[in-house]
Amino acid sequence: MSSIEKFIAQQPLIVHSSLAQLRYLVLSEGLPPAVDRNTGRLRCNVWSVLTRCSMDGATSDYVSLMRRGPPPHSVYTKIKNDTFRTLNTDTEFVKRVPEDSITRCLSCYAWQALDSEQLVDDKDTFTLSSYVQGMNVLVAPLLYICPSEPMAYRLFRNLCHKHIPTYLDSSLTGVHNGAKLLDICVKIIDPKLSSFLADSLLTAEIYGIPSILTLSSCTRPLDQVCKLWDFMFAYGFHMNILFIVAQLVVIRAQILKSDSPMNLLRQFPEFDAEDIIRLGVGFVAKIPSNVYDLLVQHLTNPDIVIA
Amino acid sequence: MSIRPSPNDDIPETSFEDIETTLSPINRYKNGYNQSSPLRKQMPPPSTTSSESTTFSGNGNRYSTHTESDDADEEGKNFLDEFEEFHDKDEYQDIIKAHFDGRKRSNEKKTGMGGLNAFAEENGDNIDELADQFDQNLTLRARKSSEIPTLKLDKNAKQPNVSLKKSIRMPKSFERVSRRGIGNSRSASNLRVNWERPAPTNLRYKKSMPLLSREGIINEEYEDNNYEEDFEDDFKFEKNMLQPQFLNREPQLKPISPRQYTITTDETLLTPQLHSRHKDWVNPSNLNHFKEQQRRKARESGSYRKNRESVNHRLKTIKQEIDQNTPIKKGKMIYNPEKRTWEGNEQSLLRFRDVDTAEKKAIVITDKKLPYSSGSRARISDAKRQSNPKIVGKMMFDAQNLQWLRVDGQEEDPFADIPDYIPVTIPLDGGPQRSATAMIPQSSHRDPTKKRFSSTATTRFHSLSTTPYDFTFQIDSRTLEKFYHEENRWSKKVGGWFILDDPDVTSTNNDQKLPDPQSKNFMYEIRNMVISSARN
Repeated sequence: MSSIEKFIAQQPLIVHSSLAQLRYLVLSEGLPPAVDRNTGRLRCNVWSVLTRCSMDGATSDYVSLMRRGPPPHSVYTKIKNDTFRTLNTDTEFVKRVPEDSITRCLSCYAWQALDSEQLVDDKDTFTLSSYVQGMNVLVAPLLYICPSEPMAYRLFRNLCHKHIPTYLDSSLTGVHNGAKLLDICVKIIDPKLSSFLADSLLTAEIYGIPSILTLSSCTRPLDQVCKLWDFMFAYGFHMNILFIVAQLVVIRAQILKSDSPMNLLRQFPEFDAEDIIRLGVGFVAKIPSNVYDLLVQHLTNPDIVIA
Repeated sequence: MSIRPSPNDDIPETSFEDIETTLSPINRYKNGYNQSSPLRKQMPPPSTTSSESTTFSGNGNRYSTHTESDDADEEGKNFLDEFEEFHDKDEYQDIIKAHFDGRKRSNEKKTGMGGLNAFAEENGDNIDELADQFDQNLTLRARKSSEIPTLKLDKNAKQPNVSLKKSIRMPKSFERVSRRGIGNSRSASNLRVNWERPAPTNLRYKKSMPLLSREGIINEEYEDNNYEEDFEDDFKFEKNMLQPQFLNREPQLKPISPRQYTITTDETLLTPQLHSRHKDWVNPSNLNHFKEQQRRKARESGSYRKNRESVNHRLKTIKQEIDQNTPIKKGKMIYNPEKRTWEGNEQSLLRFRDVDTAEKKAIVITDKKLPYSSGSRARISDAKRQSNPKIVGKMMFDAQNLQWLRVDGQEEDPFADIPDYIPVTIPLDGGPQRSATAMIPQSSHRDPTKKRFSSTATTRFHSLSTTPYDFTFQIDSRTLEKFYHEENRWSKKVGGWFILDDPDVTSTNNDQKLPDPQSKNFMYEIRNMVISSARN
């Protein structure tokens, strides 16, 4: 039993400090790879604790949404158009997560989004789309590690609403801001690579959108994605931008040598999460505070203006 | 003690034996009086009762000396025996003795039974005369209603002895009591008198007494002196009256049989139920209910409509006549009005009693078994086991699973690889779920979570038409059970982290321990760590 497992099994005296401790444990020790159900359960527990997502009543909520069946046709068509492709090259994922689970989870999310759309119709608060392409990949790691669909759905909803709401509005505002920030970060961290990509007319809008929107879950292998997510659940999903930079930096030699770098960037190569995290955390020191602020805010604030 | 001068001073005031021998018809008058006032039994005035009792105490032989009507009367012995309890009441002995002495100084030379017998024989005629006189006086004056001899005596009797006074007081008490229960007592005395001695004098006397008591106005202005003279005579009435009425207990009424006394003809004696029913039965028109008049009428008129009426009427009549005492018999069945059940078919009912036991099947289901068995072999063997399997060619019908099977059992189930979707289609609603689980018992209908599940069920699922083959949104109960199980595991494992996360708590304690859900502080933690480490 890992120390993290012991730690979360105890009821915290002071939640705030215990969460900080848990974050540090995730950073320093890391969670075991999500190879089986038990590690998935542990990861799910840690993620839910880190993101303050209670699973209380998750099943009944999920079931009540699921009982409504598929969402309206337009949404459901989009969902069904994507679900079968979700990480279909990852045999382990395909084995563990049936397509129906993805469909149900996304459909429930769609129903819930449609409901909240009606509730906050006239207000300024932006509403999340019932479905955007990429959500299927975004939900994949959750379905992959969570022991039950309702918990995955609950975590997914929590992630979407609490961590990356701007990514999922109708115009994907946060994603585009994230792309801009990615360009900025690359420029700050690796000016040579940035200029090379700029020369190749490869902006983050072109190559970075999938990784930004899916929080790098589109990159294989999924186990490494989960480790990446361990860190991001602990310290924030804004780090995803820096991790994308780190992935670029890892393959920068290939990119710089490549005649057609887009072929490399269309699908990032498999990565090692620890390397990426180490690199990404190392980038933090180089990121000016104002940019770091933007990194933090672009996830939740759709109104930020990035020059 | 005695007001009246006692001429017989030589008689010692000692034992009851002595007193008994001094018994006189006058004493018996008092008892007779009591007999006519049966309420004494219910509420005897202490003075008179005790004096009377001492008068009779130990006097078992006394009545044998009086030959007329009640000698050799067993009942007399019986009730005298009951007086034994009064033996020891010596305090009244003086009074009694004085009374006896006063009344019978001429007769009292006797000290034993022989003397008593002699006295009785001598005075036999006298007693009868006195009784007649008393009876006349009593009835006459009762009609006048104010001239109650006994009441007048109370004031005028300077001369009479103590016992007289006591006897005079008696009607007052009697009057007091009589207003409460005269009906009962009258009927009781009525019965008693009738049975023992249907003497007309007794009846007359008896009837007069309630009148006296009821009118009961003590009018002292009507006192006249001549009453005193009559009084002496009035007190000498028939000795039959001497039987104290308070001895007429219920057990003494019991021996009366309808042969001796027809209760139903005396309305005052009837219980309310008896009374009304008796009336009903006595009324000849009611007896017509038992006749089949209507049918006869219908037969006479021959009209169909009337015939129908008659049927209705008869039904109504039968219904009316069933009460708890009416014996009803229909074929072998007998109606038990106490249990309100029909009896006689216990043997047949036993079969139904067995149905209630869980092991046995209902009677109507004779050969059905649980309609599921897995595997082709098993089904064939099941089908063969049936008493009369339907076989056509090489195929045999499996009545349990409603399918045709090859007799040799070599048939491959073409649907073996196809998952059984019926339980999968169930779970989202209570209605279809129930029917499906009835078809497939192996599905986990013991799932405790289903209650919660169906309790939150909405009907919307039905309004939205899913494609009939889209089972995406239908999960089987096992999966659902797993969902709840995992949620419970989560609660057990890390639920403690969310105890303070209650919305109410967080709203108040945001600034204290719990992290602000909107706070981005944690997103700067890594930066702070990196910067601080870089400085070092």
